[in-house]
Amino acid sequence: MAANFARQAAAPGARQADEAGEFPSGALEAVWKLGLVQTVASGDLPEQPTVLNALVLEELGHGDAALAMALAASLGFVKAIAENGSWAQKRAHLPAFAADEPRWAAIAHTDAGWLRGAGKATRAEKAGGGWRIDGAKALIPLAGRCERFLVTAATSDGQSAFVVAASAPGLRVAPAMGTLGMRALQMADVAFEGVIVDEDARLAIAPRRIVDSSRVALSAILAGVARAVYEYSLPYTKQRIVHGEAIARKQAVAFKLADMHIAVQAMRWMGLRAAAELDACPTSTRNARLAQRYAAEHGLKVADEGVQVFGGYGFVRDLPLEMWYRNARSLSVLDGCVGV
Amino acid sequence: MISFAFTARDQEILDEARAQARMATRYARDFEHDEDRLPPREYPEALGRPDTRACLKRHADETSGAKILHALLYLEDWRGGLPLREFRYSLGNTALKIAGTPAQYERWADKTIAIGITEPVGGSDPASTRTTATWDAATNEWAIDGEKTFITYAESCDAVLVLARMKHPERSGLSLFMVEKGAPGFSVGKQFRKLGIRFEDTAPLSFVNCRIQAFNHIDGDLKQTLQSFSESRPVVAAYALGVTRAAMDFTWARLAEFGVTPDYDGAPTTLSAAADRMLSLEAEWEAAWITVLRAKWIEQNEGPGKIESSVAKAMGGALARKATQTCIEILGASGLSDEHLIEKHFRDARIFDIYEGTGEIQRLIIAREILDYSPKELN
Repeated sequence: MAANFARQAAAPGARQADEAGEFPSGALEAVWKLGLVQTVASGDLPEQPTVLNALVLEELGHGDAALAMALAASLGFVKAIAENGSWAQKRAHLPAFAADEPRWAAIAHTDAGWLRGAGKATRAEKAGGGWRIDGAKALIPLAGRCERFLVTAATSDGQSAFVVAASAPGLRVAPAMGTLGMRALQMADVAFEGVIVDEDARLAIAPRRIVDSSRVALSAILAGVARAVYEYSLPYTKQRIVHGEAIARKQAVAFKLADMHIAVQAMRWMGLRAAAELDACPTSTRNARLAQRYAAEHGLKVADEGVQVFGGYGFVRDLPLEMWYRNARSLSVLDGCVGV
Repeated sequence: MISFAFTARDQEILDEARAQARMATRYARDFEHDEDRLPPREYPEALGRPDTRACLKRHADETSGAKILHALLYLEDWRGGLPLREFRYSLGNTALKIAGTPAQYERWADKTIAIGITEPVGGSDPASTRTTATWDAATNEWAIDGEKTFITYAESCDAVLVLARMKHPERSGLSLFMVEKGAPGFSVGKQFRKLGIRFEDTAPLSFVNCRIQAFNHIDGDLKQTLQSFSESRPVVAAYALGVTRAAMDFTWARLAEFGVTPDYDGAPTTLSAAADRMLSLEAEWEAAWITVLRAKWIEQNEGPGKIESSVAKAMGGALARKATQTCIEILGASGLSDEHLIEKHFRDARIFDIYEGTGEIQRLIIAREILDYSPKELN
């Protein structure tokens, strides 16, 4: 179902969304209808929910990485609460995400630092019976539409995660900035200036799992992008004739395709291994990080070679190669804004 | 349900293999300046330790699969530098099993059988084989003539399965012939002086009117037999994983003395160059590991995959080169000293992208499959 959706709905709209800097009407509603977030929010989970979600995100990434990221942001939020929220937290935050109407939320983990020159970690300090949060988080997908954020912050005893409503006084969503890739995501920084939350807002989850989950999600989406590049390149190289012969019959090109195949396989299975670990254990620090690292390096390389294989056609915006290249570069430097 | 977890039995066998690898490390250098010597069947430390391969055979149903575990046992052997208890993986035995009749298998089952394919003018292209097998109807014998080279276990093996072109009134093409040690006209040349893997005996073979009986003609399906070599490719990648693991662990240990440890959260702006490069190598290592496991899992459950073995081999070969090169670069000049094994890892590792099909041959196999090209269309 996800694969069909990615091919028939997501992929054709990806270019238009990228050019316009926003998703075409109905696209977000359609991806929501896949039911990934609702399943988690309703608690009706399959045996290995993280593995299944990773497979779906790969398919969505194959169609449109931006759309995959949009869904993965809400998914990350909902999954963290479904897995580790108290009964009260689940009741407060999950029902809204179990309905047919799309609802947006995100993980806010990576500190907005060097872009603003601040470079300070987001902090949470005890204030009265609750917490006071100060700091800023970088490049949140669909930040302007998010109703809630799961914010990681340094506390006196380590790291904690807090649920913060977008309407909380002191929370400010910066204007969406234009970005290299996945432009329809309208990623924006979110600032927290003396935002006060109750003790109830603190989640009993080590931010470790949130970060690991985000890395698995990103590597799954990158695997999807890389596979899209690979599958798009194969038939072209057999049709494109140079010096009287298909370029696929030249080792210099055929070996690039073989290397793409190798990388796509390794990306997928490393990601699934980390996903399976997250389904069985509290964390997957090494496997999730290495899956993401491999996907980041090789996803970019595959996208880069895709552009090269198509030559001038890779560089023009009529074809998706240049978009995949920008998206791969973008995905490979993001961390901690989505989940699986 | 997909699972990447090991069973308790897997873990027990692998832990024992790792413990034995640690003991073997003291002998790892013994062949560096004495490379004509052959390793003993087992070192004294092996006495009283369980035989991991025998354990695997006995308890295979409690493991994730004998083929998967076999590959991982080789990983541990190579992590130690050489096996504490010899267990030869020789393609000749694999080929005999596939292509031989039951009577032929029975006759040579307990022998170490080397495989003789590569010739001085061609290794990766069996079609270029020049060695001939001439049928002599008068004596009911085949006469083998030709030269083979880069033959692993040339000296220590009991017999060689030789690929030769038939000269026969009714037959032509390539086939396999079992030539036992001591056959008249069969001689083993001097061992090669090699960059690394000096504990393995590698030498050329020569056949001059070497007469063998009709029974020694292993006349099974040659194509199928050659394809079965794909079983050994992930195993070579496992060798690469073992050697690179040793090199990387050594490098990490050195880095720890300078306060550099694995950091899975370091931001690219602040992570040290050494930690960053090691992180990248760790990712490459895990990527190669998962492709080996996947190739062996498929082989275990569905029979050898078409290209999964080549994927694993290509990854292992590339990893071996890159990881050992990078480790020495990170260690600097101290990585050059033969006080430590790292310079040996660097030399040993270089073979893995060459033997059992170079990285280029693996890519050709993969590319032909994914592009649906014949060997003629893509070569």
